[in-house]
Amino acid sequence: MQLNKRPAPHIRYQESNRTLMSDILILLFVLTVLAFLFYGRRALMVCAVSVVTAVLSDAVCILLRGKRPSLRDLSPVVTGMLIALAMPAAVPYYIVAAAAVFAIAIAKHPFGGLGNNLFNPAAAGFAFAAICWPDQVFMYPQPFDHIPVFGQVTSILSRNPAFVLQHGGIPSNGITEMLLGNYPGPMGATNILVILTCLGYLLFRRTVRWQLPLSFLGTCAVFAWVFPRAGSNIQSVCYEMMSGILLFGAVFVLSDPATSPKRDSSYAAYGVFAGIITMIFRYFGGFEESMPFAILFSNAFVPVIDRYNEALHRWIRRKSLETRKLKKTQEV
Amino acid sequence: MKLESLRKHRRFSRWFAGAFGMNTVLIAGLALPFAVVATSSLKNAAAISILFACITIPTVLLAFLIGKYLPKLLAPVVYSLFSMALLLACTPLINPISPGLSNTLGIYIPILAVNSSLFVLCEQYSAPCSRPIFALVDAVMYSVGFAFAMGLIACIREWLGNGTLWGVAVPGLPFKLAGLQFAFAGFILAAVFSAFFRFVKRTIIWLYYRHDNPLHPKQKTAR
Repeated sequence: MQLNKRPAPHIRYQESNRTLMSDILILLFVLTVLAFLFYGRRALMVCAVSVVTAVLSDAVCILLRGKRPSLRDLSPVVTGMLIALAMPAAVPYYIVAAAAVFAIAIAKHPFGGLGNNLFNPAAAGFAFAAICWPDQVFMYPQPFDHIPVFGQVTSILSRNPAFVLQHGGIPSNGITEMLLGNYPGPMGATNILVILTCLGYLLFRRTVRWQLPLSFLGTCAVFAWVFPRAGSNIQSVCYEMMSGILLFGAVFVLSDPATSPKRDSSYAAYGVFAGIITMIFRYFGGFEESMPFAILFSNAFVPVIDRYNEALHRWIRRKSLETRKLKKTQEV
Repeated sequence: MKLESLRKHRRFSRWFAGAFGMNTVLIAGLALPFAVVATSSLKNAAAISILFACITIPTVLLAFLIGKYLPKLLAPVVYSLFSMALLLACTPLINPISPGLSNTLGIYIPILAVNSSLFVLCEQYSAPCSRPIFALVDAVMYSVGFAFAMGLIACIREWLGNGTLWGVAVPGLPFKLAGLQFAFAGFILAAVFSAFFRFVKRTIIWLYYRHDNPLHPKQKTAR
């Protein structure tokens, strides 16, 4: 008989951090390719700057913490890609780099690094950039405009439909245009059809549990239906769901395993909570793109949701046990 | 285990403990509202530091003189009233820094009279066995340490966030981080500096310990 002398655990779950991150990365690469098609080489350069800065910052932070950086850890690449894809293609490179450094050095490593971060690093990085440079972060070039890779951006920049919604107007963009991503917006977040396909893939691969994005999107849709900002109820729902980075954030940022609850029912509660907060921020917030702020706010409540949900589950189990015992004694 | 050097260092650094080893903001984590909100500019930081020194030194001396005769419940009330009176008298001192600064700082001036580090010091020196010289030294050093922390955070926030220092434009900054002017940046900077200074403090203690207790050659090779 051959004994396994290695320390426990001897049976491992086939999914690991690397496989989860790989799944997300594959989809982010698809979005990057689409961004390249819409905005040219500038989009690739923004992604490259963000990823390189995030990876370097992560390595430096790991070294400062007295550990050795691992090439197998893909989380800084994902963070870098998420930050870049939530930005306009015309954004100056230093803004992307600053956002990536903030995400890794302030939002991730001080809390214990990979898997221990309380707040989503990508959302924190984007929020930091939005606070510091709102004029550059919320001005978007038109798709298929020629944007130079280096030097001053001379193309006409315009606002996202989310800005029109915030100011009580109805966006002039058609629904088909918005589904195909043919309108000014964050370079990876405008292709609604592709993002929905990405969601389908992640749900199929079970990288993301369905309870979280569906409860989140459902809550947002109900909120937009009950309190319409643009035209009829159905119009309001369509524009709210397709403008800004709401869908992108729901699929890629909100579903981050490190900053989500642990149970399926907690996922649903968290999704509903985050949805309500996101819509309140969108309706009453200072920026048209309030999703990252809402996610950061919701992240702070994840431990509370987990704790109360656990208590609720214990209470239900205890009650069901008591009723079973009562039935048995009555039968006897 | 030999601790001679460490004890010698402790005896020496006792005189500056309030400024560095037990820094009010950076090590002890006290008086944080001022470090977070009132450090948006160097002028604000200087004004708050001056007022902090003006109320801390006399109030701690008062606590040392009459603390042991006061009932425990009444003592904080007496210290607060005394520091409030000092604050009223000293607020005009900050007006030469910038006119209207006292209005800009708003609520942060009156709440200096009830700040946590003041009560910690007063409680410490109201004990009958406390030494008089250390009451004065600590009150001064805590004020210096507070001013140092406030100045450090304010410098970074004003320079990177606004491109100025003491209201004067500083050339050479390629871009501004306007977000540093918000309160959240004060929290982050206070935390980062706190982590750094705690690391430095621990490293100094470790170096003194290793000076007396060097590693055995076998331990070195094992490392």
